[in-house]
Amino acid sequence: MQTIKLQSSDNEIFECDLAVAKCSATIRTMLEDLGIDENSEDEVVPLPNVNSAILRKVIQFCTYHKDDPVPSSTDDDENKEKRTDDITSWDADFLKVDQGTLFELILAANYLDIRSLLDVTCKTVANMIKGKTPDEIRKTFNIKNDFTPAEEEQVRKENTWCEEK
Amino acid sequence: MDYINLLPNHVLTKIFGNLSPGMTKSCALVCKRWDEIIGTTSELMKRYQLNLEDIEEHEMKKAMKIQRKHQRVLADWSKSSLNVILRHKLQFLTFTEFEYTPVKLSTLVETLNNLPSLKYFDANLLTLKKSENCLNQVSTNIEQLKCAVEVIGIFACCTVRKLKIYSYRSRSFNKQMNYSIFNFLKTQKDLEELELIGKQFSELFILPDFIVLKFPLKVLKYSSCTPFTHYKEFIKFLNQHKRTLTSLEVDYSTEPQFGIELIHKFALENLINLKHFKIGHLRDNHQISYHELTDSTSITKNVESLAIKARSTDMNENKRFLNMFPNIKKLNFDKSENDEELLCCISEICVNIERLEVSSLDKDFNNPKILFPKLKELIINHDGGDISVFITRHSNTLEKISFKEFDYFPSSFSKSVLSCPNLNYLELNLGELSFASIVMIYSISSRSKPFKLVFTRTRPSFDSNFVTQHYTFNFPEDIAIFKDFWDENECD
Repeated sequence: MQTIKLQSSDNEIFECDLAVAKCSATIRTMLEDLGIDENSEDEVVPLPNVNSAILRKVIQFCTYHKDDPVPSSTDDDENKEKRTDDITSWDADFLKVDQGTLFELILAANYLDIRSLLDVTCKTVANMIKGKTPDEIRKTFNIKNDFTPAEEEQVRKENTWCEEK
Repeated sequence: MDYINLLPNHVLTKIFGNLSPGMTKSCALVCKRWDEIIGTTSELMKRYQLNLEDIEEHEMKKAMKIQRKHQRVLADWSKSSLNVILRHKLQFLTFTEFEYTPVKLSTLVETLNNLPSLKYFDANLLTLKKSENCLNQVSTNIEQLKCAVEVIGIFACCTVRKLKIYSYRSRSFNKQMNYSIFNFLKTQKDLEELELIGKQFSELFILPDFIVLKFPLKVLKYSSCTPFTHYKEFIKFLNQHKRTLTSLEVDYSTEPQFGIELIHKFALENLINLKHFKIGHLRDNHQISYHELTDSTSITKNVESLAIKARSTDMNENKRFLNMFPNIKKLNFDKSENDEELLCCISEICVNIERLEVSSLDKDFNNPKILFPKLKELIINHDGGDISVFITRHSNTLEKISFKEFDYFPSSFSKSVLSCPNLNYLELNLGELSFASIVMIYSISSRSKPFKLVFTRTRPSFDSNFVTQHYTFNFPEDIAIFKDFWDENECD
C-alpha cells in the first residue's frame, strides 16, 4: 500500500496511507497541482497549520472514514436546515474532546478541506448551541457580551421576523 | 478562552446553517461578530425569507418553474427580504402576513419605486401596526394592486387596471379612509376590476360624486358583513357602469336584506354584458321571485358563469331561477345539507356545465341522475364523502380535477382518477401527508399516460400562519422530485 509522509507544525512526521491523506482536498491539490511526487520515499508534505496532536486525530478520523462514499454534490445546499442528529456513535465518541481540541479540529478540517470532518464537527458545535439562550451560549463558549444594552435591544428588534412561536 | 471565535466567518456560517431560524436569532444576540455574520450572510438570510428561500432552494429542483417564468416572488416584511427583492427584476410581488414585522411606509415606497418592472403588487398590510404619515408616493407601472385601505393613499400616482381593497379591522377604520379610496378612484381612468372586501365600504357609495366616477369597470366584487344600508346608491353605481360590467359578485354573510334582492333584480335586468354572476346570501326566506324577472332572460341567457350560494326551499322557484341561465358553462355551488334534489335539478337544466366548483362532494352527489355530460373541470374545496363515484361517472369527459383542502382521500379515489382517460391536470392538497395519501400518490403515478400534477401543500410558517405553496410536477419525470420532498420531510 502506498504511503505518504505528513509533517505537522511541530515537525513531527506522520506516515499514512495515501488514500487516507487524500481525504484532504488540500493535500490532494498539493499532490496534483504542485507536482509533489507521490512515489518518492523522501517526499514530505508540510502542514504548517496543524500540530501533531490534532494531525494524529485527523489521520485517525480519515483512516476510519476512508472507505465512506463521497458525498454527492447535491448535498451542497447551504440554504436548507440540516439534520444534526445523524452523527454516528463512532464520530460522537471521537469528538468527545475538550473545546480547544474540538475547535482546533474544525480549523484543521477547514485548512485541510476535509468535508466530512468539517460537517460533523460543525454539527457537533451546532448541537452545543441548540436550545440555549444567548446568555447560555456565551457561557458555554466563554464569549464576552460586547453589546451595550441598547445595541442588544436593537438586534432583538431587528430579528423579530424569525421568531418561532 | 473564547475558542469558537477563532473560527473563520465561513465556518461559523456553516455552524449557524445547522440551526433553526429561531436558534440563529439567539446566536445573533450572543456577540457583535455573530450578529454581523448572521446579518450579512446571504445564505443564512435566505433561509428566513420564507418564500424567497423556497424559490432559491427549489430552483435546483425545477419545482417552481411557473414562478420563475413570471418572476413571481412572495416575501415577508423584513428588511433583508426587501433587499433581496431589489436584486430581482420582479413583475409579481406578494407579501405574506408577518404580524410583528411592521414595515415603514417610506421603506416600502422606496422599494417599490426601485422596481420599475413590477406589474402586480399584493401588500398584505395587516403588519402595519399604526398608521404612519408618508409623504412619498409610489410611482411605478403597477397594473394590479391589492392592499389594505390604510395605505391606498401612497398609490395615488399609479394607474391600475385591477384593484382590490380590504379592511379587516373595523376598529381602526374611519370615515377618512373612505375618502382616501374615493380620492384614489377619482384619478383612475383605466380601472376594469374593483374588489372591495371588508366591513365598512357601504358608506363609500353615499360620498358625493362617487357614483359618477368614470372608468371602464368590468368586474365588481363587493363583500361585506355589515348591513347594506346604501343599496340605492349602490344600484346607481351599477347603473353608471351597466354597459361595461361583465361580472358581478355581491356577497353577504349577515342576515338577508331587502336591498340585496333589489341589487340582484337590477343586475339581472340591466347589466347587458353580464357573463359572471354570483348570488349572495339570500337564504331560504328571500323574497325575490324569479318569475317576475322572465323578461330579463335576454340578459341572463348570456351568463356563462354562475355562483350559487342561496337557494329557496321552494324547488319550483329554484327551477325558475336556473332556467334563466340556460347557457352557463361554469358553476360554483356552495353546498348545503340535503341538496340532492336541487343537484338533480341543476344537472337537468344546466346541461352545458363544463366547469363545476363545489364546496364539498358528499353523498348527495351519489345519485346517478346527477350527470353533467360536458363536465371537463371539477374543483372540490373540502372532503366530505366518497368522491370516486361522481368522478367515475364523469370519467370520459373530465380533463382537470382540483382538490383544494383535503386531508383525506378514500381508497377508491386513485382508481377513479385512473379511470379518466382524458385527464391532463390533477391538483392535490395534502395538508397532512398521511400514509394513505402517499399510497394514493404512488398508485396514480403509475398511470401510463402522463398528466400534470400540481401539488399544493401547507406548512407552518415561522409565525404559525400557514403558507400555501404550489409546486408543479410533470408526471412521470418529476415524480422523483416529489419523492425527494417526502424523504426530506421525514414523513413516515
